Amino acid sequence: MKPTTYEITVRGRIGPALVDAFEGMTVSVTPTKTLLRGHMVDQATLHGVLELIESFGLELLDVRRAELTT
Amino acid sequence: MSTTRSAPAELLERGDGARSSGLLARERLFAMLDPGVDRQVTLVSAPPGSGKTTLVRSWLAARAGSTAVGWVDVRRDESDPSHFWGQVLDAVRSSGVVSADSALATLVPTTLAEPAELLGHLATGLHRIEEPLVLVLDDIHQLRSSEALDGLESLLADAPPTLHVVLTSRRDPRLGLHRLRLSGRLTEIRAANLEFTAAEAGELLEEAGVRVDDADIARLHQRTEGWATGLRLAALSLARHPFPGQFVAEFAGSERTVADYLLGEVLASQPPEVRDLLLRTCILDRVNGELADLLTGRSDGHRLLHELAEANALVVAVDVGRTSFRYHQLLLDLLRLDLRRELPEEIEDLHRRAARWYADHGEAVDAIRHARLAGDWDLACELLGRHWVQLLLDGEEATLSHLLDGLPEGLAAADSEVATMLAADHLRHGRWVEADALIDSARRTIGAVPDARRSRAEAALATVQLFRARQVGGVEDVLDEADGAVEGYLGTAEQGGADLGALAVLNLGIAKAWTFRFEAAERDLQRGLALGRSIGRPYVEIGCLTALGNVATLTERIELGEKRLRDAIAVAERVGWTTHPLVGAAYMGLASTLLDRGMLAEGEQWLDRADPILTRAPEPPASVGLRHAQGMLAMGRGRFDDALAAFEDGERLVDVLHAPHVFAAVERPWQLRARLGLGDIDAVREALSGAPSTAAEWCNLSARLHLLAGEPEEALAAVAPVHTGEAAAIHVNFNIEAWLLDALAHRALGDRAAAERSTENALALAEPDGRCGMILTIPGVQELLREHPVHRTAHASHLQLLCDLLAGVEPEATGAPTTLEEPLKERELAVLRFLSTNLTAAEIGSELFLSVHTVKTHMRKLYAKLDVHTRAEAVQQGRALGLLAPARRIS
Repeated sequence: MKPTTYEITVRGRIGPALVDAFEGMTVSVTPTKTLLRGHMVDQATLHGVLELIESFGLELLDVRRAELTT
Repeated sequence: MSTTRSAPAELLERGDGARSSGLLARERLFAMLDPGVDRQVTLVSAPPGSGKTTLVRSWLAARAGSTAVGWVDVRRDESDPSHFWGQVLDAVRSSGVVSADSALATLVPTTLAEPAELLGHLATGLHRIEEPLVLVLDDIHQLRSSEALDGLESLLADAPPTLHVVLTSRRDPRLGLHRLRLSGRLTEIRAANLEFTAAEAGELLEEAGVRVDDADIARLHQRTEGWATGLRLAALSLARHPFPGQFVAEFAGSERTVADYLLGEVLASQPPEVRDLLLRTCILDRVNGELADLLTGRSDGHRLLHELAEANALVVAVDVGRTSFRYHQLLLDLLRLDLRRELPEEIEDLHRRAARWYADHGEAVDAIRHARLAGDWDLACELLGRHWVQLLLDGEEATLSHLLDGLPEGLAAADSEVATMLAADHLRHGRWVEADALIDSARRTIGAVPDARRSRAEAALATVQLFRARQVGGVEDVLDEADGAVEGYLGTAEQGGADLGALAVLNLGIAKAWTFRFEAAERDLQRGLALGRSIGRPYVEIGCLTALGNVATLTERIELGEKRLRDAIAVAERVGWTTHPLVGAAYMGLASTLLDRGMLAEGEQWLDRADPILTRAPEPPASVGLRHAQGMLAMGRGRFDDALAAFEDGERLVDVLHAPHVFAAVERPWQLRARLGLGDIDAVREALSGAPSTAAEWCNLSARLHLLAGEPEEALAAVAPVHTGEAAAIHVNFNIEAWLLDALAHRALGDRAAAERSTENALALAEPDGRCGMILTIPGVQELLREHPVHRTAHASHLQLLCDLLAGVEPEATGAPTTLEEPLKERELAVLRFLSTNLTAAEIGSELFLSVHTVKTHMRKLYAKLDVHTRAEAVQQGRALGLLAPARRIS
């Protein structure tokens, strides 16, 4: 897989403590969701992030590849 | 290895767990778990914080005493199958259901043996446990080793009815559970089951001493969606909150994620000393009062941890004495983030202090891990240097490789000990080039090692060089230096250094044996054997016994050799290492002595065991021995083309060695003996023209050629220097051969008296150790011995044995290579003996004064014990196991 940007959506707004956990990703918060956007070097990086989401008890809503416009 | 292996099972058996550690009795879920015990497996699969571990703990506490329990905390990112199985074995042993004679009591996991061997013993041992046993594998999602996962899958598929395995996991493990599910042998508790109902949420809050009204309970329940950790965190915050109603309202109105919001609240509401303790101790996987005090600089660690554990399930005691605690994973993850934000400059120092504490308490793996995290490479290297051999001998090769991988690049170039350890790692994987570069580097930097560590570093380097030389040759080049280094290190008697000392002496002894220094080898190996036994190291014990056995055989103490080799194999059987590369050499050695004594069938069985091991884990010197033995077997059976191929292969391997080998000189003359057997006289004549006349193996070959060519006078002349000692015989077998060739030549010349005298000389040399192997390979020897007068010989019994062997009748095996799990009873054995006849069951019954029914019962039982289904198979298996005399084969 080529390096790709991914957008990951989780339910709820994550606060400053958790934002640190997703170092290197852009975190944007809507009233009910949090969007994590980041550059993944490979699938292993992506799975690492997913595992982090799991370990914080967050509910995963969506994972998608972003358009390469950034 | 004394890594932390907690025993919550013992904790639970005290029966008070459910109350005092804040565990809630969730009867609804207990009702799902209880009937599950009659099935094989229960899977509790749900996201973190769902209360999986808590549920299993409270359930076991509630039914404490009704069943034995083994508990395994699967280590984070567990990638070492040996460590995992070691934990499983420890858990099963500590449950108290393992009898002293069970294989489970003595097994030692290692990654070097075939995984199937350990699993086979484990399965058999578990099947033999009669009482019910609940085995909990907590956090099985942490198990990353596919080898261990495969093994666990097969274990679960074939679990005995008395065993019940409870798995907790964040996600469905890859363990073939669908098959168990389909066959109704799986109980599942999933996230939806674990969610608290509103009523249960109320109970939990009440248990935690929180007083809120039903509406607030409903709100909390809705907001957390019954998520266990959410409710517990809320209860913690509420317990201290002056206005609980207000807290609930604010929480319910927030859109923040539950964990984030509540953990922030909980941590913010803790008294400063508690918050400080949590923050500084979150670098540890397990906390105790002493370690906590070391990290906080205060002295309230034990009291605070105890209070936290009493108050809620986020801090849990993991041992009987409630001195060691672990934090809930979610809390731990959050705390580590906080620590990084709040005290970033202290993190390394905290790790360094933890490393020193673990080092002082002999917990090497934790100590090294924290030293690495502290970036304290001096400490990490010092600890690795002290403990790497221990890890190796513990079978935790994977853990050691992982620790070594974590060292920064370039360290090896500067640090001799690190280079040595990395070289050993490469050698274990057969990467000679990389290993040699590191050995060179280690030799260059050995002078820079501080005095306190110098002797250890030298002994380690010597050991690695000896190990390398054993594989690829060059023993002579390193032996003297290694001898001094090892001797020097043993003199220092470094604390905890017995592992390295024992391994060093073992390698030294083997190296000396390979280079014919038998007396010195014997001394070193005896010393290694005593050391290995005193520290309980099967690796050293098996290695020393094997080498001692081979030394005894090579120095013509054949019975002692056989005994030592069988002892080595017995140790391997006890610990479940019969497929370990180390034991290949023992099989090979034993096969050689058996072949030499004419027990071709049993010798062949051991060769068949050695072959796959030495193919998988090639060790050239041992492989040379294997090929030589295979060649001798083929010669004895008259399969000359097989013999030729084996000896040629042996010679090729000797060339690879670049070193002297006990068989090096004889592979070529043996090839030529095989060629003579094939009738290729010309090739042999040509080869002999440039052969050394001062070596018995060549003189005898020449005599064989002349006999075959009808030139007995020349044959006599050829062997004469062997009798006088002018031509040196490296083994007594060549003297025996020379006398028999001499006898054959005299016989051809019609001088019967001289033939008799020479035959007597040969028999005199052969009888004391029962040697036959060489004799079987000599063409024409059958007639010679048949004509030898029985009434005049001083060696009648050996003569009879040889005549039998030459007629194709082999002596009864003295010891069977395999043994039965459950031995046959006397009656069953009696029945088995009749099965090789053509008597019917009724006829066997009348022979043994038994009813036909009883005979059939015995047959059924002995079939089961022999693991066979037909009468023919039973007879065959009985022969293979040495329960029946070998079939009389007349060739």
